[in-house]
Amino acid sequence: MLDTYIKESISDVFSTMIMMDVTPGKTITSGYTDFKADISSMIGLAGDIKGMLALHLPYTVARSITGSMLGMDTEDVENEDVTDAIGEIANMVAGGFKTFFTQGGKQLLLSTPTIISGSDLKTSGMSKASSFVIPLAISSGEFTVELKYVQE
Amino acid sequence: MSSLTEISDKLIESTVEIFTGMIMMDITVKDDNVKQLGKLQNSITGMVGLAGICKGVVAIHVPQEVAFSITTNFLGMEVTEMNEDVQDAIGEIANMLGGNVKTILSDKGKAIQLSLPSTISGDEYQMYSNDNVERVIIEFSTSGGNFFVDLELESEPTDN
Amino acid sequence: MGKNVLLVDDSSTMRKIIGRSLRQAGLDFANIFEAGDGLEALEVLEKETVDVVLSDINMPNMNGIEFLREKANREAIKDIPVLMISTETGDDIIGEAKSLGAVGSLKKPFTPDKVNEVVGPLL
Repeated sequence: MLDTYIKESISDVFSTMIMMDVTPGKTITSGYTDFKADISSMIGLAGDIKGMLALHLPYTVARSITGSMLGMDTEDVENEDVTDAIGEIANMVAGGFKTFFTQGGKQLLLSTPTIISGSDLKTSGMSKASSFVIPLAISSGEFTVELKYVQE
Repeated sequence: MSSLTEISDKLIESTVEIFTGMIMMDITVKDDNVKQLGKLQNSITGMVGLAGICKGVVAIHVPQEVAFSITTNFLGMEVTEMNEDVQDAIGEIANMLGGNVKTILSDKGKAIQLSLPSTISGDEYQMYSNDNVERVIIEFSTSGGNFFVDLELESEPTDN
Repeated sequence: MGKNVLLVDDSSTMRKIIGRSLRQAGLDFANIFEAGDGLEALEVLEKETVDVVLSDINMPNMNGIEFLREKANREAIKDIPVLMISTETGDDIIGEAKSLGAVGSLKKPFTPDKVNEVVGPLL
């Protein structure tokens, strides 16, 4: 159910703001640790669920998405454009997720996005939380969206 | 809401309270207005999100060796390698800082909620914030080395 | 002193931190029992002699509030004092805990003196 909200939100964001076709893969509910990401953007969630929504992307994919969103050639995309764009995309995906989630009176509050670049990063925290990963494919490669949450 | 300087002063107070009161480590302010964080190397970052009437992130960035020293003091047992205790300890510090910031920003702290703390660690990484965010970075010194406390607050409210 | 304490928190790191704080407060327990959630805590209380419980609120399987509720229904253990450990939990959750029998709370960060002040009188 929650993954459906995320898939719909991603579809909205990519078709309206990024103008790229995106194909979601099957939701992975356990054991996924190999993110292969160079850049991640995270939004903290609070309210009736607490946790985090994150996008994890290889740098090439991040650049091509940024180029498309900003209407630039990928070669002209600067690092700052990428971090801004990826942060904004996470924000919009989380915003869309929030709209679906809060139908029927539930509460969800979002933090500001945090963007982290680097490879082979280890993450921890929310060890008792539920989580799932949605793999997504676009023309320039693959990326993932991760939701980690505790329902109160 | 208080100005960023007032918030920064209180953030320093909170950090000192956590370290001297609960972790039992003396800390001093090395730089109360770090302009840019740059690349973090062999470090671990603990962070928690703020949401509600104020949106933002509270983070602590700690070089590994310093993290071992902090964890050793916090737990009262020797820690010399990156493990779950270090991750949990750093995440817990971020959580307590978040709790204090929440109180600083809103009297009874009710209109702001925290997300859940998490940590990221690696050989080399960099943390960025968006344009519409004001950032305060404070560097602290301890006997085991220096670390950073990083507060990001949205300067213009959006409707999320 | 010969007293026993039960620490309830889903983070083993946090349990070590609290254990260290108790030692530094000068409170020397004969036994420090640990539990990762409310369910485990109830099992320990039924099996061992425990003089005071320090419990987190947010835990999986059975949280601190549910633990208090269930404990109050069990004759053999209902009178064992429980202190809630909180970070930034609002007054209303602490209020609810007290109405369910918690004798007080310790808000993080806490100093050894504070621990002594709150836990000491219960021993």
